[in-house]
Amino acid sequence: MNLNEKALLYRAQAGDRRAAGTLFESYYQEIYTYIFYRVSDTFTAEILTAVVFIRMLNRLPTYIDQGKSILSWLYTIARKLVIDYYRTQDGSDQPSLKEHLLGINQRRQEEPGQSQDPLDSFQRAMRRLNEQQKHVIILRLVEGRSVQDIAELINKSEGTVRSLQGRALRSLGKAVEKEKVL
Amino acid sequence: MNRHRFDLILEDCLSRIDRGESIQDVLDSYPALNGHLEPLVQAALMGRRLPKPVPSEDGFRTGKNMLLAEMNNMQRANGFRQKAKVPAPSRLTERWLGSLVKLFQVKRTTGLTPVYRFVVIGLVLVLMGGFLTVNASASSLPGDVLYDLKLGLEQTQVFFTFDPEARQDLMLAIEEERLAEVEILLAAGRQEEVEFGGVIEQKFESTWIIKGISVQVDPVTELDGDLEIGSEVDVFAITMEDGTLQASDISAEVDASDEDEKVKEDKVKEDKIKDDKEEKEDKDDKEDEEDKEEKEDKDKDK
Repeated sequence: MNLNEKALLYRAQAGDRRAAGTLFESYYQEIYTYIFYRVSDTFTAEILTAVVFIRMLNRLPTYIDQGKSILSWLYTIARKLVIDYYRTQDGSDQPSLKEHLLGINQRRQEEPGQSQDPLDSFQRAMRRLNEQQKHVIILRLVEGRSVQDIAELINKSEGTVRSLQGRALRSLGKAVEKEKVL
Repeated sequence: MNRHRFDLILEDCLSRIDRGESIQDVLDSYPALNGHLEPLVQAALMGRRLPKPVPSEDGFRTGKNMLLAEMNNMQRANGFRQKAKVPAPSRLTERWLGSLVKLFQVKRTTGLTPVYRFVVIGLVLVLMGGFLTVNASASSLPGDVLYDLKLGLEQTQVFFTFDPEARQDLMLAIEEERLAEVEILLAAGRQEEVEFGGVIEQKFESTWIIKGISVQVDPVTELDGDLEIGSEVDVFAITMEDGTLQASDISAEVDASDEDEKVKEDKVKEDKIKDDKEEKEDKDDKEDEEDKEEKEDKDKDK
């Protein structure tokens, strides 16, 4: 974590609204991209992204800097939140988030969805990847980050990242080939 | 071939494509694996075409409002820390380096100026392969044992940056670093002396906003030069335990070009005075000579 990040975090920790707003603006796109590819829905992704930052805020008073980047911390929160979200979808014990989302979904207006046509088969195959493989593919291919960068963000070794990438691409490659045959 | 090696080769292919090499050239460098690599590389290229989703403005605004509303709730419930936890530097390497820094500070046997002493320390550490310990100083703050080392390393970096544009960027980054340090110390409620530069943005009776930071100015604060809104100033201040920043000295920065101009003007004035003096001396000499000649003529006549 560089000093500017630290300064922002400490200010937000002390209750500075401007610092919290800057944190939100700085990392919104990355967290939104990750969640969008996990839930495949613009509106749900927007709400869950906001909830990630609220969870961050709730944890700030007890947060202790261990030298990891803020983005890495936010990804951890986002990953756990998406798991919670899917649990609530299955009817398990997380009624608050489910109700929250259902309530908002009822007020949801029709939005022009993002076109997924040219990459439909690829995206279908993406859904079959496990959570870590999917995260690596999003960071490596959609965000264009390096293996070293990803290793730092998801707290894994570079070897593990390469291996996750390899397995994910084998699976995606097979799906794309199959689609070509059909 | 084991999977680990294959993953390395796959990553090499993707990195080279990122750098602009053609897919065919990349695949041709691994002819034996061509059949295995191609579908994977094609899948990666397909993945590159995945759109980066763009959140709606409404979603962004609503999210930010939700966050700020939660912040209000927490403030009402007094859920924020008054002082942030700043980890104290306690590692052995830091203490060891701190002693080295102090040695240079106290004995000053080198006869070098402070900046160059730290340039030397920086070079010694780099030559010793002390990158890890050098990194340890990067997050140090004013008052920490490694802080002087950090300043020295910054100067070393500036010293060895010859490209004017890169040097300018580096100087700006260093300025930002000073501000970030001040903000951390304020958030942590640590009392330390700090120094930073910036533009005066607002001036209220006893509070000035300098580069986004509130600075307390009292009758004891020494003020020097043109200190209007918009002026570039250097600030010496103390971060107080209650999170305020008390200025001890605020002085207007002297523009280098203005200074050059002044030096030139002074030189012209000096030259003129010198010329006038020489002219006067010449004139006096001439008059003296004429008087002498006149006197000699008179003597002759006599």
